[in-house]
Amino acid sequence: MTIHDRLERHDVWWLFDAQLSDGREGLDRYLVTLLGRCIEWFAVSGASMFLIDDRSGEYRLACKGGSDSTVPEGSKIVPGRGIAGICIETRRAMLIADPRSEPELAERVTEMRAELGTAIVVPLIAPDGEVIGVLNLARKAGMEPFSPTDEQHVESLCAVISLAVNNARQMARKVEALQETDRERAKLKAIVESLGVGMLVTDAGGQIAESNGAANELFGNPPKIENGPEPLVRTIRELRQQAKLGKGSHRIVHDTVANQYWSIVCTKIGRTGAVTTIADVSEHEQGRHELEKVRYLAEIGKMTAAIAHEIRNPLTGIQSAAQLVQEAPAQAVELGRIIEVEARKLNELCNEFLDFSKPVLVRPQQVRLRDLISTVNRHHLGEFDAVGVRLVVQNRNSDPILLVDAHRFEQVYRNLLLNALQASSEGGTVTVRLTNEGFSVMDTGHGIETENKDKIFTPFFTTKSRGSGLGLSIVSKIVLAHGGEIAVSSEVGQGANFEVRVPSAVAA
Amino acid sequence: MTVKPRILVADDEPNIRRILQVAFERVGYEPVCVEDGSAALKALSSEAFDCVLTDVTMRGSMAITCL
Repeated sequence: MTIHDRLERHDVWWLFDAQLSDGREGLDRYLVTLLGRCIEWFAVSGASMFLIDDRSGEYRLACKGGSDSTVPEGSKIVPGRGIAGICIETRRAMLIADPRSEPELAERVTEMRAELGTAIVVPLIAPDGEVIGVLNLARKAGMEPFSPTDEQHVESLCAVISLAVNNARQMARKVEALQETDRERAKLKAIVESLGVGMLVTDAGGQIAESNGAANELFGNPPKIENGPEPLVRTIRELRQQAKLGKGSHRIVHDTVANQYWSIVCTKIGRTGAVTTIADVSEHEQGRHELEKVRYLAEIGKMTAAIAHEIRNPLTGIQSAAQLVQEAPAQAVELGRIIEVEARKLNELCNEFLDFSKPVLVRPQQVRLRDLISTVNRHHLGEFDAVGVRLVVQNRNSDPILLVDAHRFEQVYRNLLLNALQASSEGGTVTVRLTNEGFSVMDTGHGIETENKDKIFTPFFTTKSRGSGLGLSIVSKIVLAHGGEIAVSSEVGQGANFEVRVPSAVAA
Repeated sequence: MTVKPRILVADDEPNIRRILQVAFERVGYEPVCVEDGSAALKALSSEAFDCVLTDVTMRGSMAITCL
């Protein structure tokens, strides 16, 4: 039966339906079958197929067969050398009726075997024009020589084979790529498993699509969100909603029942899905809470010391004055005044402590800064005169209106003004400057040591011989409560400048 | 008439200074009150005292130097 008859009988359908889904192995099986059929159909004594290697670009023996196949395993064809090489180079099929009778070919054919009879060599050309291989069919001497009709048949068959092999090669590449992806996936999965952090991938409906072992421990196997610990379930659902809106979301959740802390991060993936990681941070959080407690206790310790120290001074004064007034009634008026002043000091101190312990609440209203500053200045002018310090107000013609809590802002200004006075000595100057965002207070006093600059707003820190060390800490609290900021610049011996800025100021 | 013992009192709190002054006067001392360490040093260099009583933490303190 000729190839023509077979094509007529659709006996070659399998040529297009090679088992290609197995990658390289499928292709190899296909080639073996194919070559077997060629041997049968064309009654050849030897057949071989060379295919180009993707990586090296070399033409390597892919398959061989027949009773008389002498091609060694691992053979390669160099384009331009040997009959097949010439065929690859010229991209044309060749019928070698008698190799010895073709002198130009004989010169280039390096290995001419005596038993070689006739041969047909056809290049396999892919649709994109690349020569992807070559098919050799040979009949040994003594057999019926190939005819030009045989050559035509082999050529038509090779057109089909080229397509099939090309498809198979591409398929093999895809299968390999898929296998590579699978390997990468397995690697990633192993990494995700080994993280010790629970991971959940949820779909649009909030159902778990994928999870790792650590997550399954929390949500069961197969995992379901609603099977997790209650605080986690609620938080994950909330974070998922936030993540959907494109907000990165992270929260620490305390499971009070199990006394465990979880750090949960939820990130949107794709259009509607989300990936959630759940890490047990109990140890870290408990450590942090312990540290906070220690810090809190340390602050209380400092506070107690400050209270004791600050209370004892006026109290000693009161006690001594009260003793003296009994022994020297003539001086009762003066001693009584001293008792009153010291008692007032104690009262102020109590207010300061109360102030510090309460959160600062501000009720902003429009405040004319110029008026606020001149009122406070008028109150304390006597104290400036007593020490011999000049008080200068710059920019007094500007009239900024600030949106601040009048009482609290006055407290800020008074504190900074009196601080400046206390830092000054006789002959010094305190300069107050109005700005559209607030004010600055500058003195010509002893300045602030570099190492103290970071500490001056810390509660109970003071360099004064008297005072709670709370003044600037309260000032800073009030300014922050206004959403403003306070900045300090100072050189030792050159004085200091405190600048207060608050937002939402209205320039008049 | 006997000479009263002279005592130098240094304290930056005016009320405390005043109380100490009244108290020492009542028990027969002659107190001289100053408000800081440098004033105390100045007083010590120009006058003679039998005793010095000073606060340790004072503004512009030189109490330790003074002692």
